Amino acid sequence: MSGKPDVLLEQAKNGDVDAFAELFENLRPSVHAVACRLVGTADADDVVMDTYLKAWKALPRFGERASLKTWLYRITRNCGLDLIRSRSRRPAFVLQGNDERENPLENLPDETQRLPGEDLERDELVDCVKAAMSRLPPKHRLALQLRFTDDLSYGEMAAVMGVSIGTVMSRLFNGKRKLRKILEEAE
Amino acid sequence: MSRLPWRKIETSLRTERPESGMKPADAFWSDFKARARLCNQDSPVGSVRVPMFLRWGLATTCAAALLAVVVTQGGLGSTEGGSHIKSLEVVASHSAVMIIEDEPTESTILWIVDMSLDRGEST
Amino acid sequence: MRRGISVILACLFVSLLSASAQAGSLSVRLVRASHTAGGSSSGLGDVIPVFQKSLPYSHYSLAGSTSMTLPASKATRQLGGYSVTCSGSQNSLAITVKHGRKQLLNTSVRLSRGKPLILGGFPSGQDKLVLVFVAR
Repeated sequence: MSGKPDVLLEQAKNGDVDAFAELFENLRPSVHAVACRLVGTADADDVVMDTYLKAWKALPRFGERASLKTWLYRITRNCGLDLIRSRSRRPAFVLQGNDERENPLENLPDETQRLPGEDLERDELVDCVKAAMSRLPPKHRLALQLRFTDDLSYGEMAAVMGVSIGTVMSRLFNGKRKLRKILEEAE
Repeated sequence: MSRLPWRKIETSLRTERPESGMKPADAFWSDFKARARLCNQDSPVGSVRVPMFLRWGLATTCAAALLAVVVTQGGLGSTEGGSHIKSLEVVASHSAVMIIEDEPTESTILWIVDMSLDRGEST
Repeated sequence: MRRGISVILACLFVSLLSASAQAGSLSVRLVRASHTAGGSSSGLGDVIPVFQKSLPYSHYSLAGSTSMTLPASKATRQLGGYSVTCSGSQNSLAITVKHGRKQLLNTSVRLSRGKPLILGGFPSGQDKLVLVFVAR
């Protein structure tokens, strides 16, 4: 079965779980990649499942004007935050859009330090970039990873990071500047 | 010190993708379908009819609350969020546009890189 | 009766909201950003820390300033060879910057009171010029 996305969306909204599966399977690798960035590879599958269940429940209220992918990323972020909060066992708090003081995403797992395949021979620059990425502040590292490794748009990044597009651009700009500085210092 | 081209750094970043380790589609969707059966989908927005007297009551309450905000805060929009750019068209020749948001002061900088006065739209 | 009171309250709210959102003034300052010392930085206390944090210049001096009332209707001011035209209210202000007769940029912005909006990168010899808009 391979229906048109708008038809599948309508069917899924009316409770057709097979249409939902067909519509959302294509997005699963991207959602999984974002979940890996947020909570690490070990818990990513759980976050994807929570995300998809919440999406299934809320789908009838999904507005046609919004991007399905961006909407899904926003849910992924919320599910990721729920997991991070439950891990830290801290009292729950409301995450403000641009409030960075208490952002749990500041304590992201350092994926750059536990990627599999470390033993493989790599290009020297790749190693240097990887090492430099691990020295970046988490918010800048996440911005660079989402943009350049995962190919997210600014809007999608804003949904994942819970900030405005302007803040996304600002973090990318500062992240690039800091990464370059670290690399040049290491030269 | 030689300046490292960003393109090279970007290429390296593209290789940073963590190994997927994603659940196979069959296993994922059979698990999902089993769980989805246990949760009902929400009702679509707009299907609930609010009685007229409730609508007026709600509107009055909202108006009063917002009025209080206007009176006590000195106007809406004056205290929440910073200044920001809604749209932009750079007519002069330039190489890049940077938007920098300074979060502590809630100010926004729009910086046009390498702007040249040679080209522009004469009016 | 109840509906009448609601209508009066709603009208009062709308008129107050409209008046508070639109009335005000806009200050526009022209700042010279350079790598060499010169000029005075007085009158820039609110934006110098932002400049120093985000821009790669060591000296900032006030090169001109003006103001206009908001809402504005194609209000034009000349600042250091550039003309700045503003139309609209604080919530949706259209800004056009020209150099002589050449149009350089058009932008639409939302200004929050006291929160600077900075448009920069306008060339002036070795230096750059920066326009700072603050709604009061």
